[in-house]
Amino acid sequence: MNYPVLTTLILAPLAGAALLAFLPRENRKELRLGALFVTVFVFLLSIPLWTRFRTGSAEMQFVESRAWIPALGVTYKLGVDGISVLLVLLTTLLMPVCVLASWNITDRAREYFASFLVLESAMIGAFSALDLLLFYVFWEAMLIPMLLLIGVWGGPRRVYAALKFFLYTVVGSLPMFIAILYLYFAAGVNSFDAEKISAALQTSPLESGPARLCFLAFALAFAVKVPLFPLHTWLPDAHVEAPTAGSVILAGVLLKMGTYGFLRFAVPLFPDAAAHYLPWIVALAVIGIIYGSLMCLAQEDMKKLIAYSSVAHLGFVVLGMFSFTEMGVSGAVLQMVNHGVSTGALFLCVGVLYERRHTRLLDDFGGIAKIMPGFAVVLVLVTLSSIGLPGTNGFVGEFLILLGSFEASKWPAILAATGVVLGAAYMLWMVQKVLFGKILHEENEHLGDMHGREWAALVPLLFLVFAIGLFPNAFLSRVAPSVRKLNSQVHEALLKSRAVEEPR
Amino acid sequence: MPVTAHDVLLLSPFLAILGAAALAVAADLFIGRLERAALPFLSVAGLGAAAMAFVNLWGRNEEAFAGAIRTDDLSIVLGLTAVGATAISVLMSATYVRPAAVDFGEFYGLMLTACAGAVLLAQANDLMMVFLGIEILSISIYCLTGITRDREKSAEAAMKYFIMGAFSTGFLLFGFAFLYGAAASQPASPGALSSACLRLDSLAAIPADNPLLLAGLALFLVGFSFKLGAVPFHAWTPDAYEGAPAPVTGFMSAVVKAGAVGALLRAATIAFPHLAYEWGTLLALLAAATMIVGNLFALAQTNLKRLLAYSSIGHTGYILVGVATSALASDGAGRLQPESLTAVVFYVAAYAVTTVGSFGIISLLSRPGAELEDVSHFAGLASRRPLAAAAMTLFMASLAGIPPTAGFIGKFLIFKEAVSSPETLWLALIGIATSMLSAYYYLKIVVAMYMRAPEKGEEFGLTSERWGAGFALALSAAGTVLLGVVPMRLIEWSAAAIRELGHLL
Repeated sequence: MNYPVLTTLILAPLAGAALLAFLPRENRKELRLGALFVTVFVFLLSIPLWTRFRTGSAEMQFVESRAWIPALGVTYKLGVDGISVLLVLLTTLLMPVCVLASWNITDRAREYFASFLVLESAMIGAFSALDLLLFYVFWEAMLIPMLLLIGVWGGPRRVYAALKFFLYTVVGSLPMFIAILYLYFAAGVNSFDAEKISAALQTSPLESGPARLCFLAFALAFAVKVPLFPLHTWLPDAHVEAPTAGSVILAGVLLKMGTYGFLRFAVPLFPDAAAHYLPWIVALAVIGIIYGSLMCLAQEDMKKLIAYSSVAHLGFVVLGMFSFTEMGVSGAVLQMVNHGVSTGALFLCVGVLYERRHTRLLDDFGGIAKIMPGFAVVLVLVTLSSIGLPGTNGFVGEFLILLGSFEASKWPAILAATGVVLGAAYMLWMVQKVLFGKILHEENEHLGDMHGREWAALVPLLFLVFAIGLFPNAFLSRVAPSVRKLNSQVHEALLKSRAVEEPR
Repeated sequence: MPVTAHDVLLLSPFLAILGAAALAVAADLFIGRLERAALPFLSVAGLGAAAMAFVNLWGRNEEAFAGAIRTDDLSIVLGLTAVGATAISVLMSATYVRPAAVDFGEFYGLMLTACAGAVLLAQANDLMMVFLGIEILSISIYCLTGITRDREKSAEAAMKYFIMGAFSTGFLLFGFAFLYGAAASQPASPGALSSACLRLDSLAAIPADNPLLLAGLALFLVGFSFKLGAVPFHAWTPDAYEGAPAPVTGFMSAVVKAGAVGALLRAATIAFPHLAYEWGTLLALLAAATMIVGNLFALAQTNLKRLLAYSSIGHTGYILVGVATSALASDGAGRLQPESLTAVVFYVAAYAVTTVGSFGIISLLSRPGAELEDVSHFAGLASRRPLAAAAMTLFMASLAGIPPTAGFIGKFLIFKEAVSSPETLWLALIGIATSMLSAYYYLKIVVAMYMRAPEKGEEFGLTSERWGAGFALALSAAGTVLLGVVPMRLIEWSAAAIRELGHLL
């Protein structure tokens, strides 16, 4: 069977969205079943990405290349390597989970699920696009569905949060658009194909001025998405207002767009400039880790707490990426997946509580473990994975990142390690306030434990928590060759630029 | 000068539209109120005939009437754009004009003559024809602006538009007089002025330092900036857009641009290529001012039509960026850079299909006397009219330049060329900065439709006879998406049109 897997993955959700549009809007049951069916089907379609992936190869796989606008050198070129394949799989896995988490959406369910499916196809496209312009198209195509998800089905301040999300992203990505156009001419290969441009830039590099500006333009777009301190302020608002499934997809997949963009485009295209700004980016990442963790300690709203913890966790990912050691970058890639799994699960847990009590304030809970023992087990496990207990996925990722960044330079790693301690502090504090102690509120005494649908959403994530934690090599072996290739590219470019500078 | 069959053939699209216009006006006298529902279809049939005539003429690139008009690929691409925009507007206006009691032949007749004017303008190959085209187009649109006579705003807008337009025509005519003078002052070409016609390409033979030529060029640009609504000649736009009935507003924003850009491109490539640096610099400054003013003022608008009027000014700015780039990146020997002109043609078509759609939605939802004026009137539209809201979102995304829509590819083409040369990089940067601003006000409309509760008060509903409008809306939505996903065909056609124009030198 040799069918274009990636194109199928992009088109299937779109087709599903079109099908949903034909269902009458009153048939909520059929709509959500249809959405579940489509997302599970897409997940099944994505399984070949795991089974037929050639482990040990750093090359792009499942490559499809067609002319799109030949006169302008725009190609429809897709492919995945070790860095992106896990992210695509994460996306297809999280989607059915999100649909399960949206079971009780009653208001305009058809539009809701259609937005989700359109978003899925744009996300898969962005993770697999190898043409700069195609990437930009998918990148921007994610905007409107996510805007609607936050703005229509969100909480009380949803409009503000949605606008903030949209404007931050647009303002961040338009400079990238100009930089892409500039690159097209600077590389002079009459193509937007990222590989061709990067090859052309290796033989005849840009001057350092324009290269740095272009890197900054890309970095701005990606740093907003990550989000890197101090561009993170949209994230807590967006998370607090978004519906549960929106938060899951935002934390689980959309934030990875930023870190993925650094790895796939910003760094390989401008290794010199990346090296030049490396201390700054590392500093921002470390500030993000510590600041995010400290902010967590001050939160009363669980979603806000998890949102700030995302700032800290993504700080770790950036720190690992910019170590340019094999362990650091592999750890960063794995940690992207881990964060998607763990934080996704945390948001689901908050959703479980919110559906029962319609509040997310820590003070409104306490002693829940006695009433909802099943939920308590899940929440504890997920929390432990989030703080990186050995045996869970978080441990592998954080450990590799810290080792790698320590190898690159000591102080950032040492400072970041305090973030691990703080992370344990705020997460356990949250768990303690919610689950243990006396039952403080009478309303909480009759809450039902998790039911089948909620288990169905959480079990796959719990499975991954331990699968990655106990058998990290199955994942790392897919990541490593691509990471090695990226690192050697960066180091080569650095040697070259030093060799040019030294004779002076 | 005898008229040959060949001349008539090349003018056939124009004649088909005029014929339909005459039929519409005449038929109105003889049919009853009920049968008037057939008028839009009569108009569309005429437009269809014109479109077929255009397709039939594709690739011939010949002159007619001793060079007064030239039916080449440029005129066909832009002519088809005008015809398509007119057809969509005609179909959409049916739900609007009937309750407004303007459901008479003149309405459709004027729409068709305006379209014919735009078509002629895109074909015009000498100064007289340019003038004729502009006047046919403008006068029809002045009348259309004021056609809902009972609305004070409509009458006021028509008056303002007419006075300002007449003023700009004066500039244009004055400029033409200078150009005639410049041609007559040429001793080398005594035969050039044997008739009243002054071919555009004969202007290219006049030395660049001829003061009459420079004065003529300057006034020519002023006149066209007026018609296109470029800053600082844009003051009429918001008033005219606001006052005109909604179906007319979308129609005029698309059709005027198609016609005027056709004439502008033709003049730029064959009449003034040797002055490319001069007018290029001038247009670059105008483009920068137009993008900034248009988008900044749009931010502050709460009236939807005024908002879209300022947005249309902004889009004129983007179009001018393309024209200016072609001049500033020219090879210095009078050959303009063709890629950015291709981009301009594509942009006009992409803008036309989008803007007609967005005003179509406004006219679908508004009634005369209860014009849908304010952005807040769109509040909650998504829960009442999900399809209309989805289509409007699509149009707004296209106007903001968010992929995968026609507007994105248009901006991509224009900015790509602007980035390529250091002289115009700053224009691209301004363009991107203003696009960021524009995202905000387009978003405001989407937010109103999806995220605000409907306001109390009158319900903006739909009438029963809406399938024609629905069909037209589907057409322009499909066009917006298709030009964004498979833009290749139109880019090729535009490139062919520009290439062919370049061969003339």
